[in-house]
Amino acid sequence: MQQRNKKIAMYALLVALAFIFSYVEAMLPGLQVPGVKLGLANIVVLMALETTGFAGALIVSLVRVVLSALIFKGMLSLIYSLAGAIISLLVMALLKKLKLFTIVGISCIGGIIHNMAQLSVACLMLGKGVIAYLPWLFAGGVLSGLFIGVIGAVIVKRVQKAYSNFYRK
Amino acid sequence: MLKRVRGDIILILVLITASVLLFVLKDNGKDGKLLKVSVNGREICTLSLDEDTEYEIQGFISKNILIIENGGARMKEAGCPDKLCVKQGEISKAGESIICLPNRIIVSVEGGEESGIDATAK
Repeated sequence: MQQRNKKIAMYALLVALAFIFSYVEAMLPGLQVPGVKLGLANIVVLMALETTGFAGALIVSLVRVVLSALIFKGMLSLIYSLAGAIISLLVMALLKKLKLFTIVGISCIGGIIHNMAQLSVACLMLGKGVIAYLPWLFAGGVLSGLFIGVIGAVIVKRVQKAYSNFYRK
Repeated sequence: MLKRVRGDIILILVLITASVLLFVLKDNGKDGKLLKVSVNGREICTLSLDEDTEYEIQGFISKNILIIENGGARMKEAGCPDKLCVKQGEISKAGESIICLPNRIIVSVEGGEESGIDATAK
């Protein structure tokens, strides 16, 4: 029971943190190309994936996406965000199991998959014309994945110990 | 751990190469002749890039104004809040497009000789 409460508290903490990142990101000016952005909140998703595992990351990611769609972006963006979040998380969890890359490499692939999933949704909703954005979204995914992965790696390294202490007591 | 770091480095190099290749392949396109306008996935009309004109598109939430000038097309006005399509500037090469997500408008340049699908896929 105690352990369960701790888990709930941890998830709530991570969701709150991810939500703050979403807020910060919503305040940043948009880039020239639609769809290319930093994805700061994914730092938290990476953190959750490394510390709580797939289930925790999925919960944090889904709750954050729904909340930020409701508050910052509007419901139309929910389909895009959900597709990107779920598919990229699945791929990242799989890559983690394969043990081929560090968190940085996993994040890079996650970034690309996220953007490709959103592009596919856009393709279904708007038609083939959106494929012209593929190079932008691909490169954007690599760069933002790299950025987020490096930050995530630094944070996970520092947080891991505190995290395991939290559960031990 | 070292093995994974090596995996990372290889992966990132491959990904960067792939990104550059995608851009190179995209920019190979030649000047297009036709401009296809679609809203919400449905094709509205096809305009010629050779004729200077101003065209009003009724989008999903508001109207956008498209300008064709000197063989290129750009969005002059958009009713949406972010105006990304206006900021994007001019397009003229086959395969290029301007997209307004809130209004669900896609304006894309089609090549002169190429068929629609090939031109779009570039």
